[in-house]
Amino acid sequence: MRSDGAASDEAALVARAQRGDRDAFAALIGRHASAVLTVAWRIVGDRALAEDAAQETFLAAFRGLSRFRADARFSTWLYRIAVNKCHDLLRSRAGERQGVVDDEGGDALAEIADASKTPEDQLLDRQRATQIDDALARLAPVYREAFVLRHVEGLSYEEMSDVLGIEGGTLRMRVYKARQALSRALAGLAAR
Amino acid sequence: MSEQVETLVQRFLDGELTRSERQTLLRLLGSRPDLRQRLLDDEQMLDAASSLPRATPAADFVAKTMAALPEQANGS
Repeated sequence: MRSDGAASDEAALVARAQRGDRDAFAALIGRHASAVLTVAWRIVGDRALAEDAAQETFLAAFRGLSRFRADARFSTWLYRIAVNKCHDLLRSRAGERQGVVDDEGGDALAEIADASKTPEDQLLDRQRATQIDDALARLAPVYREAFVLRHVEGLSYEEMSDVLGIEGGTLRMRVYKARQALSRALAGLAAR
Repeated sequence: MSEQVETLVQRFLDGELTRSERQTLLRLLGSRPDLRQRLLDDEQMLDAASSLPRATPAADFVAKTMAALPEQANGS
């Protein structure tokens, strides 16, 4: 969670961007690009599409800056736009092969290897990451996005409700079902 | 697994257990190896999820996005 100082610093950047300061908006992109890209990647399951969704998110945010209310969190507002862009992308790809973990994603999984762990532990970490990535890709989008926002991005149910426009009870049920599916997918590996 | 125990598990995974609920769950774990295994599986899954790699934007992501922006935001 951001400190009060960081939050007020961000509020100042948003205010400057709303007055037309492009450097301030560039700074906001720099701050939030990784989070927006990560969410988009996990939801659409394809790194190149996620890049498109992330760029579309910032373009839409720029166009809609005057509608952003200062009492809201800028990150929550961006997540909402990003999720909507992902929905648009997934709809446009309906009928195509979706949610496949691409090669770039597979390479990126190797990044979680921790040098302090034994080779066996690193291998197990990679296997778990690959399995959860595959299992996430197989989840229906509504469960996948709920799980990603809750357990990959660490949002509260209240924040998720703001992002998705869905009431908390429904979100809890979606996260519950996603956890069940993912836990089943990993249980076999854990038992080895 | 009963609905009451399932609710406890879900509240545990959300970090929302009250002190008395935590004590109830601890008691159950002492006598339920199936529940211990279930929580272990769930925690390993959540650890794996939170350890998934973050996406790093391309070095020119900000510049390319800024270049694609219109001259002015609507209403600014």
